[in-house]
Amino acid sequence: MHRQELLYKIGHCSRVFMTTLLLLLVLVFIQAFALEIFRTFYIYKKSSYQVQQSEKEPLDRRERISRSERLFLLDGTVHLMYRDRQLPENESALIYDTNDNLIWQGDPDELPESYLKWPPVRYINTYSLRTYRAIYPDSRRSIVVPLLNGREIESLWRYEISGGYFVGFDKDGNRIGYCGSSGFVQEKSQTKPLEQPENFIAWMPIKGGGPVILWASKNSLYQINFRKQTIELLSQLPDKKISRIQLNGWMTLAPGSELYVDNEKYRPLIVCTIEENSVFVILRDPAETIRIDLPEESKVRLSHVTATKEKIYMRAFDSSMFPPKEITKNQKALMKWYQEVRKKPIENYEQLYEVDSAGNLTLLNQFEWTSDPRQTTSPENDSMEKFRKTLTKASPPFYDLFNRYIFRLFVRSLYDTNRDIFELFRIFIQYAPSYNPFSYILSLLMAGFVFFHAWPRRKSMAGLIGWIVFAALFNIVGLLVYLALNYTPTVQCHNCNKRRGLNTAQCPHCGAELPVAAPELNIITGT
Amino acid sequence: MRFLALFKKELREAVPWLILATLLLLAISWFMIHMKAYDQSRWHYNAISNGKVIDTYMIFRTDIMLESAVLMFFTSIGLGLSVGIRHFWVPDFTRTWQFLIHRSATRSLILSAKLTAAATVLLCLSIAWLLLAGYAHISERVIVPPESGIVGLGIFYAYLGFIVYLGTALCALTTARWYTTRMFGLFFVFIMFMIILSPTNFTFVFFLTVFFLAVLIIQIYETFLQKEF
Repeated sequence: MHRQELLYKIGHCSRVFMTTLLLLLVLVFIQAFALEIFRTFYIYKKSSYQVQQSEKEPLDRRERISRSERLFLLDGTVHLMYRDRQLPENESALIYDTNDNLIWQGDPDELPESYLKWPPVRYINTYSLRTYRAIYPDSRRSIVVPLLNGREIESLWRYEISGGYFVGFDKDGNRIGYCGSSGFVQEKSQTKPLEQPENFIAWMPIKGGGPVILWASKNSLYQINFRKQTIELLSQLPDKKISRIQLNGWMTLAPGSELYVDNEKYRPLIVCTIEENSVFVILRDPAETIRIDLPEESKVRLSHVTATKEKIYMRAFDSSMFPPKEITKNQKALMKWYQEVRKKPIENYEQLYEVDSAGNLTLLNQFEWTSDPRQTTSPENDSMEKFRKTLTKASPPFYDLFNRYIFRLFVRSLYDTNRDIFELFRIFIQYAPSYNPFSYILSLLMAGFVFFHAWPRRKSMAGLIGWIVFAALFNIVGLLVYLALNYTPTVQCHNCNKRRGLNTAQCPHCGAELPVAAPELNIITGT
Repeated sequence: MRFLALFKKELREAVPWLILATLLLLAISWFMIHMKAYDQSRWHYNAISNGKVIDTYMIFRTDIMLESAVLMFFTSIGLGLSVGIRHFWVPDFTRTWQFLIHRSATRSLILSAKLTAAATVLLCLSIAWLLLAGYAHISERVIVPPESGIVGLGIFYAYLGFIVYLGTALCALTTARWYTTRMFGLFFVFIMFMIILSPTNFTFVFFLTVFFLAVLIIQIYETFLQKEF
């Protein structure tokens, strides 16, 4: 192929790609805008009155139990703590026994000490570095640990992501050392990298000698003390990923401070969740490490572990909403199972186990309760869904192909690693016509229009077929791209009298050249 | 020689914009670095006391050159846009044709000279950025110097400025009406920014920008060779 011709073809393909991408985004924007307008002016307006009405209605017992927090005594007795957060006058906690007798009422922060204390449900002081942005500078932050003398800076230790180690700077900006997995060293060459942290927490011990950082990477858990210049490997699981860290009394904090746990009563511990049904517990006083596994086939989920001076306890939760293990492997069976189970009342179980030093479990108590089935549909959702389906009729059938052959195979894997790119692609899935016949008929109409428009302007049969297929795949967008890039006026052929485009010298019907003026012809006088 | 003459001519036209952008970047960034250095030495450490958890956001600190990087981002975009308009849009190609009256040159040569001049301008801006980073490294007021990552980021922003230049050039070269597909070159660059400014890894972003750059440069080259002036 001639170089010029090749350049023209590549240039044309680039232009088609660019125009298609932009017009697809315009279409998605219009659809999203229409959907939001519908939601704002139709759905919300309609539902606000209903919400105001329902807030005043008293909760029935079943609903109250399902919203209550389960509290366990040391012997396994369970009580239910309920707080009505919707009404300000009922802010105090109410504790009921399982026979629904009110046994305590008061400030939720001053619960009786007899209840077991568990690590906080939402661990607020961890920070995932996965949100570290490579391009957008606003979130480009470094971990800089200050070492203070009163209020004066003694030194600052910055974590270098590229090298995976901390670099220490004194107050004059001079480098004073490095800290990696090999410890605190003077020379950069002596340091070994720390893995990037998935989670970490920093604190100042009550007796001073801090700051201390608990550094949880993908497979390892380190404790770094910058004052004492020590680094301790608490746990390393080369083949397992630590998905969650919980601490209970591990940090020696001042009484009354956030996350304080009385170490006279509770043993300090760290719970590393390594799989859904498997945790690794690191205990202190005395030092001990326990791995707790639930049977493979069990669908019970581990939630919390705590340890008093005498015993170790574990809470686990089970629900009829958790699918059986064998079903989770098959997506279709799972969806069908969910459709079935959502209509039924939900059976819930909370269990308290005692854990021995070998990780064996003894069931102390189980509390069962039933909650209402989850509402999967509402009139508002139905209206939204109907409107969305109407909107997606204009969407290209290409989205369906993309969903079936590309999204499921390639894009879904981005969910864990690149959530925003995943969400970007998911927009196209959200507005897919989902094999709606109207969309396919519309696409055929577009393809037909392209055929009638392109027939007198065709340069080659391959090009003509290409554009027809393109319009069939991309529906309205396909037609617009075709018109944007191919529109040329037509004239009547002097030889065959059929309409022909001016984009080629030869008539596509008879092959006749465009008429040229005679050399002697005076175009003004016509003689 | 003809290329060099054309290159110099295009560079001459772009230099005022480069000077303006560089002065803006250096002056404001110098001020920002000093403000940050002051902030580094007087951290809000009163919230850190014995027996307490340190708020994670206390130890997540922004880099000394972070604000300068934001400025670099917008400066390079502005420079790319203004040089692109100057080279291809206003006052069209009248100065180019005047310059070529006694210098016969191919279309490829003209386009190459313009693109090389624009690349040189943005390279100069990234050199100014490196000088700024060097200053932040040696300044006695700064305790924690800038990370190598953020220095690289500034250079990457200059490269993004070049892509904006290409988007502008494509808009100027296309013969479509402004209300149809004329502005698609810049919209395309805007889409690229939307994708790359979402949190993702650098390798992906780099290859994505290379892809967008290739799509733009091929169209520019093809349009420039086909266009009737």
